[in-house]
Amino acid sequence: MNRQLKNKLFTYATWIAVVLSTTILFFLFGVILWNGLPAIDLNFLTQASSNFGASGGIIYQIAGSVLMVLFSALICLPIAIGTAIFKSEYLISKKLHAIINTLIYSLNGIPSVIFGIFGLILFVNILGMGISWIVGSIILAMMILPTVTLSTYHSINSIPTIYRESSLALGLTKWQVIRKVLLPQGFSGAITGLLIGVARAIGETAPIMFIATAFSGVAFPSSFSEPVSTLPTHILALAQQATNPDALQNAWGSSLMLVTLVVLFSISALIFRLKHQTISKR
Amino acid sequence: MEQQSLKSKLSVVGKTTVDIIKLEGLHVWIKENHILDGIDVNIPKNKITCIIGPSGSGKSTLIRSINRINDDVDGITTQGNINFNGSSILTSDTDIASLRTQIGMVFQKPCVFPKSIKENVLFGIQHLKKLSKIEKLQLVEQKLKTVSLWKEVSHRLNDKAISLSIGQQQRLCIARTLAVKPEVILLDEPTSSLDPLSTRAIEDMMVKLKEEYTIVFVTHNIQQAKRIADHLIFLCDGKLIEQGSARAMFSCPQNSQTKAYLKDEYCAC
Repeated sequence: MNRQLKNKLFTYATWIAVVLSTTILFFLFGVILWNGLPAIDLNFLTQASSNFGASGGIIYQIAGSVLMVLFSALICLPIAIGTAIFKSEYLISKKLHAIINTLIYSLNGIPSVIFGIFGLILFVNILGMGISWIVGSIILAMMILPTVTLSTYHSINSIPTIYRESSLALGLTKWQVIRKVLLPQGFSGAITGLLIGVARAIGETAPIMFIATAFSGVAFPSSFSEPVSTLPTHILALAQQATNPDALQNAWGSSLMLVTLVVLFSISALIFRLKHQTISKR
Repeated sequence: MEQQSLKSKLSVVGKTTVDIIKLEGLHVWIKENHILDGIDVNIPKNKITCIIGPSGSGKSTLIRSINRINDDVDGITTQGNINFNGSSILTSDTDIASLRTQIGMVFQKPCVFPKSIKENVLFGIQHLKKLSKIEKLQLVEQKLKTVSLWKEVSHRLNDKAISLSIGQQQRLCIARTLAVKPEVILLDEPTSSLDPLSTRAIEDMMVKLKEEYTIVFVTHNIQQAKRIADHLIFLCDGKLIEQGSARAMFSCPQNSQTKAYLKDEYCAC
């Protein structure tokens, strides 16, 4: 086979790969839109569910999902920024860097259901916090911690050394350099990572189904210790009554809403990253 | 005989000035590399001291030891002593942040912060003390005038500093350093990324600034050293080859290596 033919074949192969992967994505979106759109109207988005989800709307599921991921973001952000600063500015030993990296990637690799069982044992049983949305937020915060930490770390660490040295040479203390120079620049990375993490967290079912959610009879929580209903757990429950066409219809509608939220978070992350490029990339 | 009489003459000249900084037996290692090998030099007050030498001779490491900006370099070990105004600055209880307000530094590549021109001038000083709005404006005007940037930027102080040319950015960096009111200014090849016109502007500025400040200037450009230096330090391969008054060293260097380097920019060490 001559070189040019090989080159052409390789180009075609990559094209096929691109077409395949985007087709799968568009097929999924297409099916969800096709089946979900008929379920969605103003009532569906603004009313509480009734009749075990077969009728009524999903307002409390949307509220529960958004509330839980917002709090998980609030819990996660300070820990992620702290870890990222420590790793970028204080940790010199290459060995410790390797160990911390391994730990962060391991945390990222733990199956989500394990987080759920861990939350059930530690928070619900041992600490007696009960099945509540705040436990769900804590567990989701743990799950997205690696993504947010690494994203923050990379944006802080990519700031050229000359910015640190220039500020130190003006008599700023290390903490002032972190606060005035590194954090404002690294913050965009933290928010980008947070939005990506939240986009992932809002779709998680396994870690929250035993510890934070209830299927019916749930309204907007008035305290930290109440369960909520969320979109993914609602879809799971509705899918189990698949013989009922109304329930199935609402499952598609809820799926479409969930995918819309995920896409919204992902697009915000993209826009945020493009708008707030760090000094290193200018 | 001739050499000795010259040396004694030089030491007489040396005694008329006060040394603000003294390095005694300074050794620096970065990991296993012995970068500076027992350097003994003095920096006279209110003079321009130029440090020259081929690349890799340790000029930057030397100047970066004086404000301890090298402390954060991975694997660095320092031995010996540096005296500033009579007290050692290499002790563990030295207040490094306050030392750096007394010994300012300008780097090779200008580095402005992603802020306005005005905020860049005030960046260091506003973390050290509270200034009123009027004091800030006065300080900005005064420092930008000192670095001859005022005419060019007075009408756009709130523009982003990144919009300035590289030469202007470097002058802004000098203004920012001056705003902190240091006694000594260290400059690490500050003109090597600049055009000839900006280079000359900075050289002229240095000659004016030495009335108020002590200037330590690293350069690989011998002609530049000839134009501005009062005191000259010649390093090669981490060792001090020769130091003394610039006029004496340029007219009759004591050491054959210095002679070769000043003539051909070549050093056989």
